[in-house]
Amino acid sequence: MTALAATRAEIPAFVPPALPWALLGLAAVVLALVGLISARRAARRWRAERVRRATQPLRPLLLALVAGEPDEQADAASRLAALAPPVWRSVEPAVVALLSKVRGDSRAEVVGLLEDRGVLGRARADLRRRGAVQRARAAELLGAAGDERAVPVLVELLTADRAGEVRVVAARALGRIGAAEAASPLLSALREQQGRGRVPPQVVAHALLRIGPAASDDVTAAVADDSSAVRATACEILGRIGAVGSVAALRRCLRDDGSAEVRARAARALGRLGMPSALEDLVAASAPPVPAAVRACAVEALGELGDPRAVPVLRDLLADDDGRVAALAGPALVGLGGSGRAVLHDVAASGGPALPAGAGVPGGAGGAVVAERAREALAAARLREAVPAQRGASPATAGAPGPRVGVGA
Amino acid sequence: MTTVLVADDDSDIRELVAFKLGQAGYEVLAVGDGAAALETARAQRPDLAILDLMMPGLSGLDVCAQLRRDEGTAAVPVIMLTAKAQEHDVATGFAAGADDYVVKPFSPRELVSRVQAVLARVGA
Repeated sequence: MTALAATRAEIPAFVPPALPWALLGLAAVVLALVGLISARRAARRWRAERVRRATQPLRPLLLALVAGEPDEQADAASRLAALAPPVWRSVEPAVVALLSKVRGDSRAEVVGLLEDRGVLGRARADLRRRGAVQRARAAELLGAAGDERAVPVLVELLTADRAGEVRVVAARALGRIGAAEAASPLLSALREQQGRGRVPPQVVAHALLRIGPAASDDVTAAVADDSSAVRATACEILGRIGAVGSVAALRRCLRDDGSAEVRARAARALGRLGMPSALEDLVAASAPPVPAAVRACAVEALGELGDPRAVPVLRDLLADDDGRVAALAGPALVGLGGSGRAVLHDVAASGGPALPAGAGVPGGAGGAVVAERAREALAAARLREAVPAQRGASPATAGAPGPRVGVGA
Repeated sequence: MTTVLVADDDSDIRELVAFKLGQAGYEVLAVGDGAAALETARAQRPDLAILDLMMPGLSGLDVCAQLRRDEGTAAVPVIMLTAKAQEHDVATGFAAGADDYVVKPFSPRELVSRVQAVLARVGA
């Protein structure tokens, strides 16, 4: 106090007299907060260590449950099911953690144990709790457990929960469960809903990918949705889940959709699906006056489709006025295999291809630039193939074509 | 005895794989990061390596590529064990020189089958 009073005597007159006290108070609050945070961290570490010590003797049982032979699994399950409640409470987090790490029989054993111990039943009840954190935790656990009984309530949470985080966790859980009946509600969650905001497209897309081909009917129907966000996601998913039955719908999207984003994704999906019937529409979509973003995706898709009839189209696109389209034509030709590569070699060697009248690049660089693009595409392909070819090869032969050819062959 | 190197920063996965492979009769060298995996592979020359894709420091892809570059370890078959399941990720794994690709969550039983299949293919 005396020191403070002495210090005050040295403080200029324009400083309010209460300021030193305020600073002192602030410092005390900061110190208290630091102490509190440190204490909480120490307590958390102590609890984690206590759980680790408590569960260590049970680790062999957990390992036998998920990775043992069938008789060992059954024995481990019955012993873990018979643990006294306090011991079970300490081991439960370790059991739950294993859910997301294994699948097949191993996961089924863990799920069976959690059902026996009433953990999943409590989680199903928790989906209706008032607290958003409890609802989200329960949804997460039931998703990890692949609990089909929880699907109706999870769909309710996805479509109507007041907390955005809970809707996101419900979407993920439905994807992990692989609930085909959730495909339509998941797509609907991409729309703004009564002021609640939409579930992020990447979350919905990931969930639909996990559901896989079982969702293809609903996703195919969604390419005609009013919302362009729904249509774009639907196109993307159809390509990724290999829904070959959706090719006609995707071709319609590529030709007629009002959104460039949707058309671009339809082109990408058609490339992934690799059906030759898409060739004509992709060729049409690779030419002006189609928007450049759509043309770029169409060019890539032609490369993925792998139909050699696209060779002359892609060769001409090497000289396209749009730099991105022209740059993608080279790798697409590589994707077409021998005939595409032969054209690239010709173009690279000639220093300027026999291009259609009027074709050229801005600035009049013409043939030299086009030849450079061809060389770049061939070099990139060689680079991609070099790493697998090095395996087991001496340094002298590394980079030479080998039996194990990777991407871009 | 056939030796398998297991590199994963998740101790549960490491323990699980080591347990299952041990049961199947393999000797397991388990490590928790990419640098240790590389060091162990160079020192012990395992018959096969199971690498997690995303590890602190050196990733599984980095380790795989370095194993391929080193003449002494170039022929060690590699199985990638990873949560990254997109086709691009799988293609990247194979392009780095992996022999097989197992997606997490995984089945321990299936992993052992894949280990056996890869070893049979390379004649170890």
